Amino acid sequence: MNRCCSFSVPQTRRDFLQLTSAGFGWMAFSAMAAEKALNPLAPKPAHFTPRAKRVIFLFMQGGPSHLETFDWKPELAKVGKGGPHQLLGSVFNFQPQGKSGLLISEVFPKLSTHADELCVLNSMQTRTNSHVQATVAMHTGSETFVRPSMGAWITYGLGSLAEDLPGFVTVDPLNDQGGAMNYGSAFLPASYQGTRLGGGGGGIPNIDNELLRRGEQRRQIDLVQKMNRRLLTRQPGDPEIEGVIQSYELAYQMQTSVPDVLDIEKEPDSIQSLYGLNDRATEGFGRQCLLARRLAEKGVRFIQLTHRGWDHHNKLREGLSERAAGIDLPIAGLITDLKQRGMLKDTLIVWGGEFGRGPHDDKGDGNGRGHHGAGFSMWMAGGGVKGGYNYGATDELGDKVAEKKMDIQDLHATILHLLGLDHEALTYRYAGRDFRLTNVSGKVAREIVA
Amino acid sequence: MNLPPCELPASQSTRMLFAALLLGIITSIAPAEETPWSFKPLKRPEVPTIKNTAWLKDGLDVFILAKLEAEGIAPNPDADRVTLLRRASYDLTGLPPTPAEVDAFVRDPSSDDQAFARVLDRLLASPRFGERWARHWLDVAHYADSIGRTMNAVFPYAFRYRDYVIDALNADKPYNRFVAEQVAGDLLPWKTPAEREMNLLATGFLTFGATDLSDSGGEQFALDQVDDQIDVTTRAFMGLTVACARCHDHKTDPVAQMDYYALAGIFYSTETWPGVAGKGNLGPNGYVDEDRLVRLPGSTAAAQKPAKTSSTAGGNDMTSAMMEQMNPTKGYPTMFRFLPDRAMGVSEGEVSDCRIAIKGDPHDRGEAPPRGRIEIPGLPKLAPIPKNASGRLQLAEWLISPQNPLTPRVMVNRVWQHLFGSGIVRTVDDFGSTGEAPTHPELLDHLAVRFVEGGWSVKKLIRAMMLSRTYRMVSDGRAPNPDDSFYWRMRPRRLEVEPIRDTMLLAADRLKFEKPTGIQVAGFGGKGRAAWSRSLMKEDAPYRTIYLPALRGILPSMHELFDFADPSQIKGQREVTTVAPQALFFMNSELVADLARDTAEAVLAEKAEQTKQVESVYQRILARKPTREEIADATQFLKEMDLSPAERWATFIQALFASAEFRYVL
Repeated sequence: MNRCCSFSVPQTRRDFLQLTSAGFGWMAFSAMAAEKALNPLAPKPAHFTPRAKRVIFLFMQGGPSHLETFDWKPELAKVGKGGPHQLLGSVFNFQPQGKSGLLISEVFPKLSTHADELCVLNSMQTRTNSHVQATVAMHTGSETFVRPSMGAWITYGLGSLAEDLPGFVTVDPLNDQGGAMNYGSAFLPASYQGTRLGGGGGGIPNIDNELLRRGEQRRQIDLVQKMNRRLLTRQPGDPEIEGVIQSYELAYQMQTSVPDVLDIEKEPDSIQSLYGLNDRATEGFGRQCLLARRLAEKGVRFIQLTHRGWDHHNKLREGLSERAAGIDLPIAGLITDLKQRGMLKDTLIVWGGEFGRGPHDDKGDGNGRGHHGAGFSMWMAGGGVKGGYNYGATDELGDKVAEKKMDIQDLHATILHLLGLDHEALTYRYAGRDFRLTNVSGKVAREIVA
Repeated sequence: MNLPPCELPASQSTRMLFAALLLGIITSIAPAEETPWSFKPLKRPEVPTIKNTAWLKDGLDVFILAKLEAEGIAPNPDADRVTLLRRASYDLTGLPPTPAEVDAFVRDPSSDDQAFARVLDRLLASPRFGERWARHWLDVAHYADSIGRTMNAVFPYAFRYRDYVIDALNADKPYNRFVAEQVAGDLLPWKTPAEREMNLLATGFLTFGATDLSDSGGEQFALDQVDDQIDVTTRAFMGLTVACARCHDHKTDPVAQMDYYALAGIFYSTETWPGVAGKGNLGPNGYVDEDRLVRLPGSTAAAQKPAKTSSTAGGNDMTSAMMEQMNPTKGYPTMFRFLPDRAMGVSEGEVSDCRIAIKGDPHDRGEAPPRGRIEIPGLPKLAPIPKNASGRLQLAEWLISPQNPLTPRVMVNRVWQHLFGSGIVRTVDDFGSTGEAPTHPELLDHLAVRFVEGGWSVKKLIRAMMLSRTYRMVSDGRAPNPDDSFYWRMRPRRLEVEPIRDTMLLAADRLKFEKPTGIQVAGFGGKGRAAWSRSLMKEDAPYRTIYLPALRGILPSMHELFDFADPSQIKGQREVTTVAPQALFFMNSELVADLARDTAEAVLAEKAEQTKQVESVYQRILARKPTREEIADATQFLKEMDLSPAERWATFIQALFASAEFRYVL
C-alpha cells in the first residue's frame, strides 16, 4: 500500500502535519501502528454522522440528590414528613420552567432559564451505593476491573481536533475515589489518558523554562533538530524519528499556546461576570467552566470538570443550596456562552454524580438522605439532544427506576452514539479479547436524540 | 472477527441481560474446535536450504535467511563495533558502555566473533543484567508496590519479590525452575534455609492481583483473587487467556468453563498472603497487615539487623516522616518497619474443589470439577493431585513438562522481542486463536527446542541470539518497506523509561549501583491525606529506575510519559509513543535540567581542552565520539550562547539528552 509517498507541497501547517503523518493533538505516534503510519491522536472518522463533536462532563462528586434537584415527587412530598426511618419529601420547591415546563428545583434559578435546552434523564441507575465504586463505574463502566475511562475511549475512537493541546483534559480531578483510574487509559495506549489541569491555571507539566530565554532555547532546539535530521538520513522516512522531530516543533509552540489558552484573565469583563468570576461563591467553578469553553474552542475532545461535596447525609437544605449556588450561575453562563458562539449544537454537556439520594430521612432529623443508586437523575444539554425534555422516570417515591432504565452502560452507549460512535464497534483488542466501554450491554436512548 | 468482550457482570439485572446475550452468543457461534498452532507438540524443525551459507553465524540465522532469499531481500551488512557495543550494552544491562569499554572493543585485535563473544560474556556476568531483564519479567507479573483499585494500600514487602527476580536472572536460574518456584516454591524441597527463603519469595508472583479491599472477605473477593492468579499464571507462562472462561466456555480457544474451575480449585485451596487486609479486618496498620505475610526461615533474614525505620535512601525528609510515624493520623502508622522474616507469598490453604459460579455469580454455584482436571485438547493432563494438596505442585510440573509446548515457546518469544523489537509471535501474551501467527514458525520451534535442551538457560539463549548474524546487522535503511518482520536489518528501538533515566544519572556521575535498603513506600491506603500511598523515593533518587516503587495509579510522571506498563495490567509488550510532552520533558523538566548541569560540572572538572570536552559529552550520552562536523556544530553553539560557561555546557548537554539518537538503540 502506498500512502504517503507522493510528494505534494503542503499548503498550510495543518496539511504539512497531515502529510507527515503525525500532526495533531499530542502529536503522538505509536510504533505498534508503524505499518499503518498513523498518529493515534489524528482525527478519525466517526462510525456515522455525529451530533456532537466534543463532551463537557460536569461531574458532581458525592451523589447529588435527584429529589431536591430534577425529580419532583408530589406523592413523596405528601407522605414524607421525615423522622427516624421515615420517608422525606423534597426539602425544596419545584416550579415549571421555560416553554417546556420542565420541573426544576428552586436551587437552580439561573440554570432554569435554560430549561428548554436541558434533557433530564430521570431513570439513571448504578449498581452500587459505594462512592468509590460508583465513581469509578461512572467513569470507566466497571466497578470490578481496572478499565479505560470514558474520555480515553472517546479520544481513542475519534482522535483529537486540538492541534497543540491534549485530546482529553480533566480539570481539578479527584485524588481519591479511584483517583487516576477515572481518567486513565488502562490497556489503551497512554496517549489517550486524561491530562490533569488545575482550574486555577496550574497548567501542563514542563511547559516553561526558567533558565533559558526563548531565543536561546530556539537555538538549542535547532541543534537538536539538526542531529535528528542527520539521523533521519540514515533511517529515511522513519515515522518514529519524524515523530520526534515534529514533537519538538509542537512542544516549542505549546510553550506559548498552552498558557495562552489557560489564561482566562484575557477574557473581557462581561464574559468573566457571565461565569461568576466576580463573586466568591461562584468563582471556583466559574473558572473551570470558562476554561472548559476555551478548551472546547481549541478542539479538545473530552473535557471533565469536577465539583465536590454533594454527599448530603445531613444539612441537606443548607449544604445542597450552597453547592447548587456555586455551580448554578457558572453552568448557566457556560450554556449561554456556548450558544452565542454557535457551539452548543455540537458540544454535549453532561451533568451528574455517581448516584443520587434515597427517599428516606437518613438521620431522622428531616434534613439528609443516604446514598442511592437504584434511581437518580442526570441531565444533558446541546450536542444533539432534545431540550426541555424528561427521559424515563422513577417510581412515585423517587426510589427505583419505573420506566426507561438508563444504567451506566446505557449512558455510555448514548454518549458514544451522539458522538457518532457505535458502542459495539468501538473495541480494543487486549489479552485476546475485544474490549468495549460498554462491556457486554448498553442500549442507546434514541428517544433523546433531537 | 469482532469478538464479544468477556467480563464479569455484577448485579442481578445485568446478569440476566448477560445470560440472555450469552445464549445468543453460544447458539450463534460454535465453540472453536481447531487446536491453535501453539498447542502442537514442539519438534525440531527441518533446516531449510539456502544459498549464501557464508552469511550464517548461528543456527537460527538459516531460518531468517531462507525467508529473505525467498523474498529476494538483501540483508543489511553488519553494524560497526561502536554501534554494536552500544546496542549490546543496552540490551543486556540497560546502560551504555563506558568510553574504556568502547575503546577496548574497538581495539580488540581478535575476530569480530571472538571479540563480541567476550563482550557478551562480560555483560551477561554483570549484576546489571538482572536489573535490566527483571523489569521485563515484572511487566508480565504485573508487579506493583501497591494494590491499586479503591483503597490502594501499599505492598511494603513487594520489593522482596522484585529482588528475587533480579537475583534469579543474575544467577541464570533455569527457567523451568524459575516457573516452578513462582507457582509452587513453598512446596518444593529445599536443603538450606537460604534456598527455602528463595522458594518462598518466588511465590510473591501470585500475590499482585489488583483486588478491591473495600469489598474483601467474601466469596466474591476470594474468587477475584483466584481469577487473578489464573490469569497471571496462564498468560505469563503459556500466553493463554484462560480467565476468559470464568463465566462461560472460552469463545475462541478450546478452554471450557470446567477447565477454568479445575484450575480455580487449585488456587481456591491456596492461602494468599499479600500483606493487606480488607475493610472489615483493619488492624494496627489499617489496610496494611504485616500478619498477612508469609514467614521466612532464619538464614539471611536473621543475619540482617532489623531496621528501625524505613531507609532514607530516597532523600525523603526523615524528620517530618518520622514525626508522621510517631503521631499517625487516624491511629495508623503510615511508614512501616522492615521485618526481614516477612514476605508476600502463598501457602497451602483449606483444600477444596471450586464449584462453578454460574455466569460468574459467586452465590449461584454449580458442580465442582475435581481440581486440576484440565482437559484442554492438545495439552497434557495434570498428574493426579493428592487429597490434601492444593495441586500447585502438579500445576508447576505440568507447566514445565516436556509435553507442554507453550511454556518454552512463549519464553523464547519474549526474549526475542526484547532483542529484536518485536516477537516472532507479535502478540507476546496471546498464543491463542486470537493472537497472531508466528512470522517464522520454524525459527520459534528451533529456539524453543534449543532452550529446553540447553537446560532452560536464559543467558545461553540470549547469548546465542546475540551472536547471530541477524542481531548484528546495521539498522540503517528505509522501513516499513520491506517489512521489518523479515529481519533484513536491525530494527531501531526506542529505549524504555528505565535506560533513559539511568543513562542520564550515569552521565551526571550520579548513579549508584547499590540497591536501596528497606521499605520505600508509605501510606496505609483508603481515604484521607495521611492514608495516601506514596513513594519515599523521588524521581531524582540516585538509584536505578527498577528500584523506584511502582505504585498503581500514582506512577512517577516520567514513567507515564515514556510508556511504562500500567502495573495493574499483565503486559509483556509496552507501547512506544512519541508525544510532545516527552519533548517538553527534555526541554523544561527540572530533572533533565539538574542532570544536564551535573553532567556539565563533571565534564568541566575534567579540565581538558574544549574538543576533548565535547568528546566526553558525546561519549557519556551517546557512547560514541562526535564527528568533525558535530564538533564544529558544538563549538559554534557554545560560542553563540549568551550564558555563563557552566550554563552553556549544560544547555548543550541537554540538547544531546533531547536528541532522537539518545532515545533510540540503533
